[in-house]
Amino acid sequence: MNPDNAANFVQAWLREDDHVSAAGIVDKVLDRVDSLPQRRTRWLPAGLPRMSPAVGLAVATATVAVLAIVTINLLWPGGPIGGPPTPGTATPSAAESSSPAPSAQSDAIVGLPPEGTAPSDTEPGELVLQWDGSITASGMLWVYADGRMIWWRLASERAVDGDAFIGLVEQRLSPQGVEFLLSTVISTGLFDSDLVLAREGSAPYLQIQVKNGDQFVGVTWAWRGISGDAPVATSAQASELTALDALLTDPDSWPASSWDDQTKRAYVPSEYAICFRAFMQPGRKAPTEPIEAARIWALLPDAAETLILAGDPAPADAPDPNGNCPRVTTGDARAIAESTQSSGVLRSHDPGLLGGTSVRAPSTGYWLRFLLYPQGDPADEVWIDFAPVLPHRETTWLGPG
Amino acid sequence: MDTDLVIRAQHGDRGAFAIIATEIGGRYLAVARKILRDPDLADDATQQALVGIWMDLPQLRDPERFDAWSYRLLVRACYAEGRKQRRWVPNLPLLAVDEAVADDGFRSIADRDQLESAFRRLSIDHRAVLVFHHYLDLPLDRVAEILGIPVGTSHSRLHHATRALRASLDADERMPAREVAR
Repeated sequence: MNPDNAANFVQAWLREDDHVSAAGIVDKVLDRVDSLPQRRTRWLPAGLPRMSPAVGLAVATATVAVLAIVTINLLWPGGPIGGPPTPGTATPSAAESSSPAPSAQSDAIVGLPPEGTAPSDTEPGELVLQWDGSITASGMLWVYADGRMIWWRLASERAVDGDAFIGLVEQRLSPQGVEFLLSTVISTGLFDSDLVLAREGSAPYLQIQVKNGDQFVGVTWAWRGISGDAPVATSAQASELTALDALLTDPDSWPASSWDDQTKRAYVPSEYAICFRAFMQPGRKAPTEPIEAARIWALLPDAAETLILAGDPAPADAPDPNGNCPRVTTGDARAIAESTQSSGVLRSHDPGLLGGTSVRAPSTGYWLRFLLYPQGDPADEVWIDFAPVLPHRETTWLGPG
Repeated sequence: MDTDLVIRAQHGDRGAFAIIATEIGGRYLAVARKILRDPDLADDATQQALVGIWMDLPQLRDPERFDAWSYRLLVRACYAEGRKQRRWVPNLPLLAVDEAVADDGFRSIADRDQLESAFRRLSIDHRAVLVFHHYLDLPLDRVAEILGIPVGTSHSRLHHATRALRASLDADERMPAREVAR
C-alpha cells in the first residue's frame, strides 16, 4: 500500500460512524458552570477598567522581578531562589544531554536527575494517604507518615502552552498537617472498609486511599467501565467525595500549621525500576511462552546488562505492575541509560509511538524509555522503561503509551 | 466561532457560553471519540474540556483564536482520560464498527481491526495530529497551532503515525498487534 492509499484509508476509517450527539454532555456542563466561577487571575480581558500609570509601573516592575526569578531558576536549577535540589558540577551525561529541556514549570525533573543530585530521602516511608483523580485536577498524590508529600499533576490547572505533564514534586507536611488530612478524610465515614461507588454516565475518576487504624482503606468513585455493577454514590457520598477531592487538590487552602516546608522541590528518587515490555508487529507470530527477562537484557550493551542483572528484585509487598523489574540506584540507572544511549539505542521522547521518533514532544514527563527493534527475536519491539521508586517502595505510573 | 459570543462569555455571560457549548459540543465529542477510541472516556474528556473552556475563557487573550485554544484544551482533556485507558483498557468497549460501509474502500473488517489496534498504540499526540488533519481536514500548520507545536513537528508526527498505520495494513497475516506474553 502506498502512502497516499494509506492516508485515504485512514481518512475514510476516521470518518466512519460520524454522528454523535453531545446534548446530554452540554446539559451537564451548563448545569456545572452555573456554580463555577471563571478564573480571572492571570489576565484582564479588554473592556475591564485600566490601571493607573502608577499602578501599571508597579505591576510592570513586579512582572520583571518575577520573570527574572523564573529565568534564574531555569538557567540555574537548584539556584538560590527556591527550586529543586542543587545538583553537583559534573559534566552533563549522555542521558542528561538528551533529556528534554525542563519546562517553564520545572520544579520537577524530566528524565533522570542530573548527575550529582542528591536523592530526596533514602529512607522508606509509610504511605498513609493516596489520591488519584481527575475531577478537580488530574494527577496523583502520596502522603507519608513522616510528613513527606509527593505529587504530580497534569498541567492543565496551571498550563504552559505545550506542557501536558510535569514531574514528581515534593513538599513537607508537619505532623499536624498529616493529622489534618487523615482526620478530614476519615471523618467522612466513608473509609471504614474498601468501597467502590459508581457514577452514572460520563464522570471523572477518583480514588482515595487512607490509613485508617491498621488498615489501608480505599474508596473508588468512577464510571461504570471501572466500577462495574457497584452501587451509585448517594448524593451525600458524592458531596463528601467531591469536597475531599477539592481539598486534596488545593494544598494552598490547608491551614498554615500543615506545613513544615511548603516549598515545592523536585522529588529525586533513590532507586529506579528497570522494566521492559515486548511487542510483536501485525503479521508476526508471537511466542507462546513468556520471554525470559535475561533475553531482553542481553540485547543491551554489556555494561547496562551487568548493572541490571545486579539489581534487586521488587519487594514482595510492592510488586511492579509491569512484571519483574530489577531495581537499581539512581546512579546505576544513569549509567544504564548512558551506556544504552551511547550504543545507539533510540530514546523515545514520545511514549507510545509505534516505531519511535527523535521528535522532542512537548508532552514529555518524568519517564524515560528506550526502544529496541530486535526483529522478532525475542520480539519485534521492546520498550525499556525507567520507573521512579517512591518511598513506600512502589513504582509510579509511567505515562501514556 | 463568533468573536462577540466569545467576548461575552469571557465576561461571564453564561447564555453566550451555552450557545458556544451547544455549537461545538458535538464536534468536540466526535474528535475526542476519534482520539480516545472509547465513548465513555470521550464523554468525560469533552465534559472536562467544556468546563475548562468556561473557567479559563477570561485568560484567552485573542478571542479570534478561540478555536485553536479550545481544541488544545480538548486534547489536554484527552491526555487525562487516556491515562485511565492505559490502566483499564481490558474493560473498555470498542467503538462499534459499521459493517455497512465495508465496500467504501475498506478491504475487510480485518483491516479495520488492524487499524484500530495500531491506532490505539499511538500516543495521544500522534492520534491528535491524525484526527485533526484527516478527520477535520485541517492543514498541518493549523494543527500545529492547535497543538502548540512547531509545524515541522506536526509533519513528523503525521509521517510516523501514518507509517505505523500503514505497516499494520501491509502485514501479510491478519493478526492483531499484541503484547508478547511475559
